[in-house]
Amino acid sequence: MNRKQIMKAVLFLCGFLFILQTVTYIIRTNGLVKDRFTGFYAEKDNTLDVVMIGSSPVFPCFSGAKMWGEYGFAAYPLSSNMQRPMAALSLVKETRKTQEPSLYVFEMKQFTANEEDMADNMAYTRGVTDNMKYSWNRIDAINRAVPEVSERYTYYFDIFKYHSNWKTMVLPSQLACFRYEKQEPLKGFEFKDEYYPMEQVDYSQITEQEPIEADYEGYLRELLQYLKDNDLQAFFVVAPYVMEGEEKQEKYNYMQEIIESYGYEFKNLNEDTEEMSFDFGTDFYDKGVHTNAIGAEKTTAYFGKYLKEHFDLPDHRGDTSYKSWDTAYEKWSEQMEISRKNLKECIDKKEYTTQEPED
Amino acid sequence: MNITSFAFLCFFAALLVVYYIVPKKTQWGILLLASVGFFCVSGEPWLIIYPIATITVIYGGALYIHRVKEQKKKQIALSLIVVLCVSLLCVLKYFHLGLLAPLGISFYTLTLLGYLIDVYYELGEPETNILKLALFGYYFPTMISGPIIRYRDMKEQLFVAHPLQYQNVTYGMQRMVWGFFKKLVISERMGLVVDTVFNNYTVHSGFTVVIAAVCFTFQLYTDFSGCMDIVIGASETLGIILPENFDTPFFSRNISEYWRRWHITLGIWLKDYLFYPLLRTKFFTNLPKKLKAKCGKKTAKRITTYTAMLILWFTIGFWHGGVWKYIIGSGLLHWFYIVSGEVLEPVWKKLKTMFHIKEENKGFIFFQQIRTFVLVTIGLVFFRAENVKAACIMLGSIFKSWNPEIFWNGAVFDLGLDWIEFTIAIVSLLILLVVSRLQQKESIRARVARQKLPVRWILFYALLFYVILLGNYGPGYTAAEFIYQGF
Repeated sequence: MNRKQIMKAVLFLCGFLFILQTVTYIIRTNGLVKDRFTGFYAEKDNTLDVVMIGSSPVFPCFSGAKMWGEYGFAAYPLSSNMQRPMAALSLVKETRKTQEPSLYVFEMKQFTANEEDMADNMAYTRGVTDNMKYSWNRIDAINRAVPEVSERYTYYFDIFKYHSNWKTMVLPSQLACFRYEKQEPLKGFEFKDEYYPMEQVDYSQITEQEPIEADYEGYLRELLQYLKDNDLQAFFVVAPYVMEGEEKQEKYNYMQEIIESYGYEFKNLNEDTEEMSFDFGTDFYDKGVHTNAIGAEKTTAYFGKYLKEHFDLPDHRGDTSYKSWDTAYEKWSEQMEISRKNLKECIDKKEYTTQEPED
Repeated sequence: MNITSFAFLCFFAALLVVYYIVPKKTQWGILLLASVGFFCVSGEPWLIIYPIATITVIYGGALYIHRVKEQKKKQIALSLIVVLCVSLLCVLKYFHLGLLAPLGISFYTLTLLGYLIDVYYELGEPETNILKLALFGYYFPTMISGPIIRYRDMKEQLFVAHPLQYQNVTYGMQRMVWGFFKKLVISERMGLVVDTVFNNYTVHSGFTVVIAAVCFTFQLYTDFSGCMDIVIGASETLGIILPENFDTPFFSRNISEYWRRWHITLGIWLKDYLFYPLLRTKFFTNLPKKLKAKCGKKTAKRITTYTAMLILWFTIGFWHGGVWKYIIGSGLLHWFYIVSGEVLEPVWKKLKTMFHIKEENKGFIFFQQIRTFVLVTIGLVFFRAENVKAACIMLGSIFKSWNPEIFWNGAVFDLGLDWIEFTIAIVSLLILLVVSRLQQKESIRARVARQKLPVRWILFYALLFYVILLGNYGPGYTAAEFIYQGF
């Protein structure tokens, strides 16, 4: 084999890998999670001020567009359904490749889950890994989340899973993802126009502690250490939801102590629902697990204000490089009007959602 | 380890790197290690005791047969070893002890017995290095489904140095991709229709059964020949050219020709080591003499040949699995086709003359090819059906209902493939047909190699991504094992 032949072989292989990557990006299953991640990658470099990492309580609860419109900072959710706790560090690293946010927000509900339930469903892992661009960090994220070495290849080369989506290649919205960058009009927020009446439970008086799973504590400490070592500002929160028993509160107490020992703040927003005028009877979408649009509006208003007051966040309003955020706020406001109307109708007619919560 | 799995591709890539960086003298040793490794990860590792025992017996037996002078002793040694190996094969394969059967036992048994018989007939020297003989017997690409190799053809290639050659590697990989195309794109799709109908044969009839039978014929062909393309291609990248096992069999004009082009190495093996030795036995040399007086020289010779052929075809059927559906579908039925074809030859000739049909008339050739395809497909209904009774019911049910409406009322798309999947299957079969036609005239790879680089690369990328996107593999699919892997 001479030098020319080696060159040809290398070039052919590079061409193959390039096409493989492009095709994979296009045919990864379309949907809101993909839109959220491609939207994140489409954000201009170093323009995000807040990145919100966590599971499904994040994207229907905290509206980056509203925070922009009312407080002038750009907050984007890097969240996926049942996001596994070990993914948090990988997503911080992923963020730092293109962004330098002033603040990382971590929604902590998933840290109280059981790993056994999480590991069984590959969708929870893929929600993150199959929405990341190809990189060493992605490989690292896979290695952390998939203990079975023989299974990892279908994650590294996710075309093994998604090749049967080839029919979607004709969709312009899919073709637009060829670089895994596509503007997300609502900046990752998801409107929920249904409701389910719940009753508030108050566990704030519980001060006992219950350790979270040892692995999860390890991931949490690893994350905290990384944030500290890299001098990154972070805020750990729990979005409003109806807690399923005292044990959860005890776990939050346990995490709070760890988080505060690293010098970071922890806030369970369930304790501030009165201040935000949160109504458990109307503001949840699916049996007290996720907020609906009205619940999100209330939470975001309170949360955005809290961030603005407690963290050093800039106001970019008027800056032309943030034009897409102005558009997103307009879009969000329009959609919010519709959602308010829809929800009012549902509440008046007492039409509850039939949707079962995923987590 | 399934050879369409990612694990195999990694294994193969690693082997390729190691094979070409180690000193050339040790390359065959690497292949032996790789073959042992492949064997161990493909099933229960302890089952390797079977091939080790077989190789030891064959190795010792060949040396003994070569050294000993007396013909009688040679004969006894050969007979004992043949009986031992065949008995072991039969016990493990055909008496419901499948789980104890090591990978590729049918193939390595035939391969090693062929070597031993060659030594017996002094057609080749015995190998003095048991490890080299082990590599010949268990060379991993041939372990799954053949091709069945001959020591005298392979010894030069297996043990000599193979420098890295661009053409070997590129041609080999192209061949492998073509095999993946056949297996993952066509065979796996056909399998969905086949399973739907054959697994519920009592509720299907008419054209539905015809479609399933035709699909199985294509499934088996693309599965087996796809597997051959992968292993022959893999071996080619290592500089070792394996014999072909298929030569566009569906272009055959009659069943005899079909068997010269389907599972070629099995046919050659059985002819060389069963059919001809059988004809040389006392019984068969005396039979024509006995029959001559009663029915004339020509007929006596024919009866003798047909009787030996009956044993040959029974063996072929039996080799596929010791049950009647294989014995009939892959054996006796084909014997019947060939014998009746020969017996009725004068009638065909008369008919051809009567209707002024010329042998080389394209329409006639096409008719013959279709006829062969139909006959083979009937045999394969037995092969795939649950048992002989089920096969007969299925064949009978074809004539029980006249339901051409399934082609336009959408019912055909309820057989496991929707219209898009069906279209992919048909387009892929057409690609296969065109390539096979071109291949008959000239090597398709050589033809592509003459094209300019951009054209070549576009073709390669197109094929690669055709397989990657349209192949049935990965989570959500369970690519079936190769059908012939079980034999």
